[in-house]
Amino acid sequence: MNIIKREFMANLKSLLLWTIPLMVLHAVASIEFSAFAGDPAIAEAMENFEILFQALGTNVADMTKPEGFISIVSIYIYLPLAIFSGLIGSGIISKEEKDKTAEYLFSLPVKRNKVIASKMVVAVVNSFLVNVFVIAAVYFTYVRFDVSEGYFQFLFNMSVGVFLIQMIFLGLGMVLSAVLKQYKKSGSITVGILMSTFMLSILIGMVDGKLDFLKVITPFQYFPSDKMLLGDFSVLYIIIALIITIGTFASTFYFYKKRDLYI
Amino acid sequence: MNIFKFELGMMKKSIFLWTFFVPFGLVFYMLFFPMMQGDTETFQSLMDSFPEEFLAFFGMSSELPVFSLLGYFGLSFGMIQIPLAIQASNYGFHILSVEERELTADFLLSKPISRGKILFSKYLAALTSLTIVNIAVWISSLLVLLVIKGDESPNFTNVNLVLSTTVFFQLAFFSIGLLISVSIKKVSSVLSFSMALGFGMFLLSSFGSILSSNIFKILTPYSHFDPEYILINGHYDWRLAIISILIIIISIPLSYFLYKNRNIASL
Repeated sequence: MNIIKREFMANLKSLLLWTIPLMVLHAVASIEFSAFAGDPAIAEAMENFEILFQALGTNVADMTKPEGFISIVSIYIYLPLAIFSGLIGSGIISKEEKDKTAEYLFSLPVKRNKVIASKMVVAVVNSFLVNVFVIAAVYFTYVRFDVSEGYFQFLFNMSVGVFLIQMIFLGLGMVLSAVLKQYKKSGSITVGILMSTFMLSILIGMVDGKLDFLKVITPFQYFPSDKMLLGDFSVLYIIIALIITIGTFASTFYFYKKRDLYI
Repeated sequence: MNIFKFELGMMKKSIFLWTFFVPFGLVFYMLFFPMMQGDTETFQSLMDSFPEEFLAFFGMSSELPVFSLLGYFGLSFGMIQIPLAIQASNYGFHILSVEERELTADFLLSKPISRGKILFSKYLAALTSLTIVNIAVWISSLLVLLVIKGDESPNFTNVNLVLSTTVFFQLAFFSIGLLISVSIKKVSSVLSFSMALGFGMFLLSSFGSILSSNIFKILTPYSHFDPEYILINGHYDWRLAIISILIIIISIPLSYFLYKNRNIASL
């Protein structure tokens, strides 16, 4: 419990530094959105425009409706939250070695497994808090517009989807900092994977339909916002996400127990 | 000169990785261009039937559609700017703060060299490594364009102009990183800082283009050197580019001043 408290306080600053700017960003976007919310002229033009989007293979939701607009800007929920979780995952494990506090921590009468478990609790809770606060900020800033009945359900689905993606990168960050000999590398590799999967995901979106087999390796394509709007969770991707999450969490324990700490 | 050599030696691996992976990403993106081409004529006639303002609203332009070679290149280059920005800000945050974090500042600063010279050597070392990556991106872009151009004849003057922005783009991020790292007390984790800067600015710029808001555009170097603008107009968007160039110029004396007076944390 002591470690949990200690870790939570140590990570509070970064939690706030991520949550508040993201909330502000989405609030500002909603002010811009109010300029064309419900504008029939744009809605009509969008309808004409849809042919072009279909031809280009992208499915663009009606951006005069809050739901449509949120799914257009949703990448700015998915991506930053995934980065947050990846960084906290690799940081929370490797920071003892970086700050030269590993010697102190592991000479305390606490098992390594318990230390890791406490750190995991904090990392998961922090990821959850960022998720809830950002989605709640989106919910409350757009609820003043003309929202449909499924609005809450849509954001709830998105929150679940984003949380699953966050867990994948959290686990990845943790297992890398437990396995790699050089603690410094875990962060860069996590970010490298995150960035390449993100860029791959954009590429998949651009050349629509022809690269679908690559969706399996890009977590950003597991729970896309247009599917969340329909409440359409793919069972396959949920299973993949759970397997990766459980696998990485479990192997973090396994590898860290045997780790030769850098002191 | 010794510091310069030492720093370059320390960065060797990082330079190698970035020089390999950034051009690789660009080439990988560009190789999917043939898939985009498909039904060009239908697209073109569709695009023509919409007014220019509407297309601009969605980040498209009838002069530079994504299924044309240069339109697709502009898009791919826009993606490649993200890793370039992250690398540059990584070096900016890392290069001075690492001495304090790894407790080597005492050793370095007790040598008979001025702080100004330390800053200067490190600046040059970072600039050299950024330039190596820049050159690699430049060459690979031209090569991949030559390979996939087919019977199109793209305007290489504009392509070169786009590629020439890289050095300013990198230096802008490097300078911001350097300035922040000398003005705050401690850079605890370089990666979180550079991710926040590199990706945060990218988020702002794409928000700016979705909302076509000028406030966002002023804030972020990504919009200062928007590849699509240059590919269409054949020149820099000077009103915006000048902001980045000013940041680069001002940051040099400012970070020198701040570093000279810095209270270095030591054991």
